[in-house]
Amino acid sequence: MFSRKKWLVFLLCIALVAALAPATAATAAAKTINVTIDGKKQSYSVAPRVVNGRTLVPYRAIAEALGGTVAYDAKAKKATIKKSGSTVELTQGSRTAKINGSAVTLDAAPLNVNGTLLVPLRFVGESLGVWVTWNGSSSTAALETKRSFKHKLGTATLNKVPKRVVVLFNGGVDISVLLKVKPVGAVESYIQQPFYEYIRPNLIGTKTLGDETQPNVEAIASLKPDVIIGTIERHEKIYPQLNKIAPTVIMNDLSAWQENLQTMSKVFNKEEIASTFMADWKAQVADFKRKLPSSVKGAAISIIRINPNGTARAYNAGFAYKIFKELGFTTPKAQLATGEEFITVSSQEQVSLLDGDYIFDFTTDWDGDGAVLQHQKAWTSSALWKNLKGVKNNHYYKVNSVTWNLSGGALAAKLMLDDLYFYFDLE
Amino acid sequence: MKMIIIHKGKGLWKTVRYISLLLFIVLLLTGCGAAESGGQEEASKHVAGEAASVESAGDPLGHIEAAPIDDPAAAAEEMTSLIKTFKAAVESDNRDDAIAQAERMASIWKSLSQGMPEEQSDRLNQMNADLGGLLEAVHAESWDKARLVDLDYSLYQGFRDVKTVLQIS
Repeated sequence: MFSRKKWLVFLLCIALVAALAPATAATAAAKTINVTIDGKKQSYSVAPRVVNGRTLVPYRAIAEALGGTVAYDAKAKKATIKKSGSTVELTQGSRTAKINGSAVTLDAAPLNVNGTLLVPLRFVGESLGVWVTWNGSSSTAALETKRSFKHKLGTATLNKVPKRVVVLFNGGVDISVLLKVKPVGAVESYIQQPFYEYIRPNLIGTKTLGDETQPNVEAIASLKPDVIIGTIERHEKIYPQLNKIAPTVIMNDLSAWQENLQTMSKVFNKEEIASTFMADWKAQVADFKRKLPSSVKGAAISIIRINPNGTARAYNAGFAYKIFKELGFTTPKAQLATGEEFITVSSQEQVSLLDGDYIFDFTTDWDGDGAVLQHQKAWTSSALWKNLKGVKNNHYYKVNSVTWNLSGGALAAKLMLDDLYFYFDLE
Repeated sequence: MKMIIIHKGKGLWKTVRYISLLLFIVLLLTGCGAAESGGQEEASKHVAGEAASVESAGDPLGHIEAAPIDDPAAAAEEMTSLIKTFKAAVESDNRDDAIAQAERMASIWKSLSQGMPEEQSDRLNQMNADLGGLLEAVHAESWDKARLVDLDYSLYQGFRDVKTVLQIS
């Protein structure tokens, strides 16, 4: 049991917390929150505010400014908002709202302040189809009703946050999963069809649209997408067809997962998820570099695969290459000297081109018949192969071809980086 | 005043006992119902119950004794660490360490795998097969280092997924 003295201390602590809490809340509430719509500053009779760390904004005024109509049932304390064919139902004090009949959970329940319903900022974007970004330094919530994405083949203009999304490259499918956007249609994976196992559970219900090198345009059209995400390497030829179906955003580099994540997060209004992911990624890269022994720092990494035709290939470009570069590794000198991004090695006499301090091999059994693995065995059993520095030092590793090469998405990057902790013996 | 409080306390205690008895009866009844109808408990039935049948069909870890585990998170951390140090032991030809680490991994896994949901049987079987292969390869007179590291890498990736499934990552 508590002694009288302990009780007194306990009560004093409670009193202290109680005395401080309103002051903190008052400070938060006192901060002026600005709202802009397409750059124009808005003013409201009831000011937006921060309550319990959530930014709440006047929903009716914003909905009306965006062209919506609002009806309020005072008895049921329920607001019904109609905009561009969508219906949003909100109830004062309830964290559950409905968008076109489907229940969604709000970060905080709508608050009635002098007859004005305030809702969490994030919900404004989700329910009204506008892009919302929060600028912490100026305490400004910027709402955008339109976004344009300029790329090498043109400009895609979107007039609302897309809901029906089609993704035409595997890295983009991975990124969609990360951003919690389930595409209505996506290209199927190279192996482990329909989608790579590590993301498959998140893609139940997504229609497959064929290979990323040759997607089925008719199937894409039948999905009536709001936006199509493609890449210059794969979809330049069919871009005019795609752009007729829906605004098409073309990525500049299939394997540039960080840029692709950034662009796709802007398209999907999911920049917050992307920036959290990138902050985590950067922290992990820093951790990896810190833990890597100095004897290994800057080691020359050879990234290779054996091709189905029996030749080998060294990569001086691509997804895994970019990650090794970011981690501070180098490229084997012999490979650099070729000046090529993808070096084809056709005979054992050239095998030294595959050497490195570490050799990572992501050979893929594309056809599942094991033929390419026989080629791999032939390469790795030769005397010349066994004489490579990386092999002699037991630094030749066969790695996961999906997460190191075939996918090319942000989640795959995270898995590859995690694998490197294994290969470089890091805790 | 004091008397009244004691009296109230006794009354409250009686009520609590009645409620407990009723709750017990309700629990007994609902428990039987769930068992018969194959409800939620049925859905979350773990693979552990099938261990005997798997063993008789040639469980690669049949001879391994499950490690006593109080803290699954700490055990998972130890397992991940062992998977990494095993690779280093193989690469530095440290046979005794590698064998001890492989056996400890199998023993920890045997315990942790009891928490694997039934729908994750593919992952469970893959882990069992990798660990079984690893034990066999590490005890072989002549080591195939490449195979040992390949199996260890497969374990590393498999266990990364398992930690998510078991929510111990």
